[in-house]
Amino acid sequence: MRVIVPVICLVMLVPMLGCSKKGKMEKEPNNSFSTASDITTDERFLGFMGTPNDRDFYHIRVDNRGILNIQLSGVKGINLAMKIWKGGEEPKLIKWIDDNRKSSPERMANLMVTAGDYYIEVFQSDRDRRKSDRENTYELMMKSREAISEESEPNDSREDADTLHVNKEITGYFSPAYNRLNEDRENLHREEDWFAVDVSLKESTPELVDVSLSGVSDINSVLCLYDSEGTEIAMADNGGAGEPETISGAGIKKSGTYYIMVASKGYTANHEEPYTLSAVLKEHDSGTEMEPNNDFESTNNISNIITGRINSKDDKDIYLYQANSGPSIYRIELRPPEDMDAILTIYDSDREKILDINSGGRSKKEVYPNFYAEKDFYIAVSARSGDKVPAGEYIVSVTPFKSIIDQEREPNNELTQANKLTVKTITGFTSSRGDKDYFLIAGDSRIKQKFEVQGVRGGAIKVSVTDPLGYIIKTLDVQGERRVVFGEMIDKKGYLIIEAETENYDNPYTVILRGAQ
Amino acid sequence: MRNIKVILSSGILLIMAAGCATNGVKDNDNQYRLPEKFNFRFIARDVEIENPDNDRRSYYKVFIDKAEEGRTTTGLESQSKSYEATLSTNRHLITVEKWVLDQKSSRYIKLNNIEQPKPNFIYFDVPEKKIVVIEMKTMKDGTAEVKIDFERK
Repeated sequence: MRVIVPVICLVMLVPMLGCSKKGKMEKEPNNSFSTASDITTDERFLGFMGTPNDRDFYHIRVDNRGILNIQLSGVKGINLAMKIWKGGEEPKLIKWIDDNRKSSPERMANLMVTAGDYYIEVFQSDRDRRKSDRENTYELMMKSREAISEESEPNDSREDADTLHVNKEITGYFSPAYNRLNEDRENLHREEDWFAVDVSLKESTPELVDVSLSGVSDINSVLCLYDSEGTEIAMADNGGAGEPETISGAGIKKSGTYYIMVASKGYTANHEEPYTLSAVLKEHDSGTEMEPNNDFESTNNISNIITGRINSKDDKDIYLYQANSGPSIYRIELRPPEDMDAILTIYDSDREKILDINSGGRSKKEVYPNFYAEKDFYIAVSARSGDKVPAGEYIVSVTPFKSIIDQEREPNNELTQANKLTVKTITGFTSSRGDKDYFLIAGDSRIKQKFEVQGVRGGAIKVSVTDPLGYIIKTLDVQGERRVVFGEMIDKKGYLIIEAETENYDNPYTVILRGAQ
Repeated sequence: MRNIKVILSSGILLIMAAGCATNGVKDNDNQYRLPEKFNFRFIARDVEIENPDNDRRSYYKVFIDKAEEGRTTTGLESQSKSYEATLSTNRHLITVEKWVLDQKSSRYIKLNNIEQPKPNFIYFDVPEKKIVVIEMKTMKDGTAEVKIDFERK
């Protein structure tokens, strides 16, 4: 008797352990759509992976539009995956969920369902060795909720994009982590959420759109904006995990449908915390940058002054200045926000780079005080790499000189670019860090030329005179706005070199040729 | 000892030249060129340079009566480099300073005193209506031979 009682207890305990999870049990065989077990929302269903290749199909009939939160528990040693099919007679695969490895659960936070038939297929992933387990059940659970301004999964491609209304918010989830149906080579298996925004411009006047994506815990997100042809207009990938992404001032030049793509980097998911996405349209004026303007084909015109923003670490804003009034000298100034170490790059009309200017450092203005141009030219603004993406706006201004006579003409940074001195007085600037200005002095005879140099207020320069080949014979230092007079032999030809020791981009130096001594 | 010889020979040449000048005006005025833009020319070059690698670009800074007045043209050490000026009719002192090109810095630098031509000064007279030509040849060891003459037609 003493032996029988524990045995009976043990016999009773075994099935209890096996059915420790509460819920309705699957009814095998349920290995096909036609034999699928009927299930309902907000109930638990249990099943076994009876064989390594077991496939358990569940059928659910949906009467109203809503959101399903689908959870499949883990089974020790088994790598479970789910496929979701839509349709009655010829079901179509709409989602393939296989984020985790063996023993781990799978989940999809927000499947949008409409009235109709759906199937859920539970099977073993091929990413772990398939096994049979007749003792430990998995648990399938679907919770339903009403959809209020929420993305409609699956919206995994441009063709399946969900609608986003301008100036309104929508929520969505970075769930699941992978989309096994995404065969795009560049972003293989990336789970993407696509949204379509219809824009109707008033009188075809361009507008700007700001797209904002909120931060979600542990998610490092990426945000892209495309035009109706699928060409990328702007991309934001600036924040880290948990941080928001923003596309600011992207140009909408014509009416039509634009697309927004949201994805997480590194195949991470967050099934609990939703993101919020919005697209806000605003008017555009000629004094504001319009993205995309990252290359010479999509430049913005700058007439006098323009305000812009660096939207990503690689963002480069290119502006075209049209020199309609012929050759001139321009003061080009870039005023960055507090958190930007700005780089100002000038290109000539042939799109050849003339120089980069990055002298000021963080929050300090960058200036090209006297750029000489005969034709149109380009100005590019970027931020020094390695810095965080600046939050504020920068301002670029281009101011033509009233008179260009007696003015140094940059670029004259090397012997071959020397400005020929044809006038008695020349005014120039220390235009960039370590700037060297070359001037050619040429005459019919060998003379001892008398020079008078007035230095740069707030700066320091080094003045040199060379032999005909450009080798330095004499050098003088001129501090501040000190006036220095000296003589040097010019063997019919020679060069005067003004070298910046301490730059000052606001005040010029002056050289006067006083004639032969 | 060699320097003394050079100075003596230069002195003798100077006296001879001065003598010739005095006599030349009286004796044969036509054989000398009359001054126009200048009445003094200094010409300097190095001799005995056998390796072109050692033939540096150079010039001489010229001091007249201890005041810096200018420099010669630039050229290789082996080439003649000249300086012209208009000086008063008087006895003068010319001192020269040799500068050579430092290729690394693309600028001329003054040669160390020990490498300067010896002697690097010459006393000479400038007469009326003549162009005084001083020609200085510097040897490999730095000694300088100086010849003073009047420019002829």
